[in-house]
Amino acid sequence: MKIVVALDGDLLVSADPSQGMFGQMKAITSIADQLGELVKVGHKLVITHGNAPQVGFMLLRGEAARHMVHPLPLDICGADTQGATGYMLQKALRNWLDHQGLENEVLTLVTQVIVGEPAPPGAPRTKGIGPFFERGRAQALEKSRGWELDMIPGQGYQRVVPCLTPKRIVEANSIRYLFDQGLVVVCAGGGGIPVSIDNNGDIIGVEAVVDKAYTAFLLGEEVQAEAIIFVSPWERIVNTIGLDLNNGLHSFYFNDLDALLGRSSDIEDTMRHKLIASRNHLQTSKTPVLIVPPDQLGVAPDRCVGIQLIAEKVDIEN
Amino acid sequence: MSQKKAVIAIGGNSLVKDKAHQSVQDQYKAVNETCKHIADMIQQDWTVAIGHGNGPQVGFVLRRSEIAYQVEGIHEVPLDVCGADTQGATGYMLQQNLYNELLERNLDKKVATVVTQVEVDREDPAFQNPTKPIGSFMDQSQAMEKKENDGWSVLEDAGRGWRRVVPSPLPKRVVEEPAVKELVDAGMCVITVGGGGIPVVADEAGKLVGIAAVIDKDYASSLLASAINAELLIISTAVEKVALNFGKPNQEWLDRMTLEEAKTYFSEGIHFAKGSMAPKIQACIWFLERGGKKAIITNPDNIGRALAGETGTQIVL
Repeated sequence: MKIVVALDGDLLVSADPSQGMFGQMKAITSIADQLGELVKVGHKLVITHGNAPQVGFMLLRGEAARHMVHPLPLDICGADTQGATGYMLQKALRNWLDHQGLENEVLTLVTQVIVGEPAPPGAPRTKGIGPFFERGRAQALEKSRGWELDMIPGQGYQRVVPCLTPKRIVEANSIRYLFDQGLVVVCAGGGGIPVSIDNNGDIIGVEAVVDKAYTAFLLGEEVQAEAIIFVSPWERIVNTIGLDLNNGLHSFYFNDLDALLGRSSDIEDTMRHKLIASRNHLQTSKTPVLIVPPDQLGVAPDRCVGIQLIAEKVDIEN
Repeated sequence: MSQKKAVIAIGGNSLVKDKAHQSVQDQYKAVNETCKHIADMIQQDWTVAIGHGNGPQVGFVLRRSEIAYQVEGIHEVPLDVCGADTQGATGYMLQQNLYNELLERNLDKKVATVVTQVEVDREDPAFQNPTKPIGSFMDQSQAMEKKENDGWSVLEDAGRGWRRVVPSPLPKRVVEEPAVKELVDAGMCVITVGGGGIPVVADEAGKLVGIAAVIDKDYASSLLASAINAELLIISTAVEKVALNFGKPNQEWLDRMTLEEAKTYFSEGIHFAKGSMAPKIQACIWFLERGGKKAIITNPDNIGRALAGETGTQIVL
């Protein structure tokens, strides 16, 4: 089966920050084990991933070193994390496959997405990123770099950037080509590096974050995926549906999604993005969407525990 | 479809002009310039794989990492991951600028950046003798602490303080080579082996692990050129041509040399500066010995003319 796997960014770092890069490598290796199981049984994968914690670390480093080293714009931060996370993922997965005697190649492509509209109604349209500042520094940044900052009670001022939906994947051709050649392709980390088209028709980086749930569906269209699997921590899924995950897949139909989104005001932003993008997807597509915890990924889509989002049962008469 | 395949290795000067132009905007401008020259090449029907240096960029990533660790206690970034970071960022800048340039010229070529690991031999003698200084200067007690706790090799650098040194082993295999070859054979321009590739070794179980090392980007580009059956290797550097007796009164610019002549000059050991021109000549020699047809050394501005045989130093069989 052709599958797009979209990994939440916090699954790729350690819950214990003191573990540093070693912790990241360990987290990535354990995800790679699950991805490997999917490849082993013959599924063809495009893998994409979040990068919020990773970009967060970069911005913290940039701020700490600001008197000594030039700052990094957000598009470059995104590109950096695509390189680093892609490297760790492709290495770990390749090692797993090698150990199993499998020869599938794994490759990371640096990926840009042309962004369009803000996130759709109901989804968060901005995102706070990077460190918290004191008032004085916040005002200075507002002035010198034209940032927008929000006061978060108890924490301080944080930069806010728009969260935009992707319209087109610039490297779609290369991704599709390699996927069709049988490679496992890691791409569009963080939803892709956000770019737009300027007046000359050139693409240029944009200071924004990408609604990465939408990117997963764009990737799905490119490779004609038969399933989209979001991978999220157990508690994030459980909190979203307000139910314990028991056996098998808990199904939600299109209409249930509206109810689910409407019912709960405390669904985490990242989950809200997933549900809204899924609802949008299910309006025109029958490709099922799964949201599963990391330790269930290896037995997806058939034998896993998690939730599945499916289109309305279609009346054959119509 | 038969096509002309080339690998071009672009030097650090194509990315960071000088100390006064290190910001991201400056790097972007420099990359933009370089991409015009690469587009000239593509316009002449070459399908290119592009290798690039990352010395200054890794320096910036390391510096941020060191300072943030000291000031805020944020975990440090190991050298292999620094390399991967720069492959992402530099690859992005290159692919974006090249995409724009090709679009402007109505050239229907796709560009892709591949995160690329390069395997080196655990037994490479370079591991016994680390020589490449990286990161900031330290005082003696810091240096000794790092040596003790983190197993760093450290060296006192001519009275300026202590620095970490890492080995510079030879590249043995481009791990993602089959995919790079597939992309190039499909007519795409591929940005790869950034910074000479992310250095990895196979452990006892055969698993690849990242290591703290630096791979010469010209050696890696040469190896890649052979692996993808490129006919041409271009090494883009700060000078238009290679010189014999460089910097001496009897300096002599070279338009052309054969592989045999190159080997002779190289073995004489007096013509090419160690750590700058010598490894470039070596990279060209290895490429031609492994079946390459031609190597060119020139500066970015002259790539187009050098391809037409008008300038640069052409090294032929």
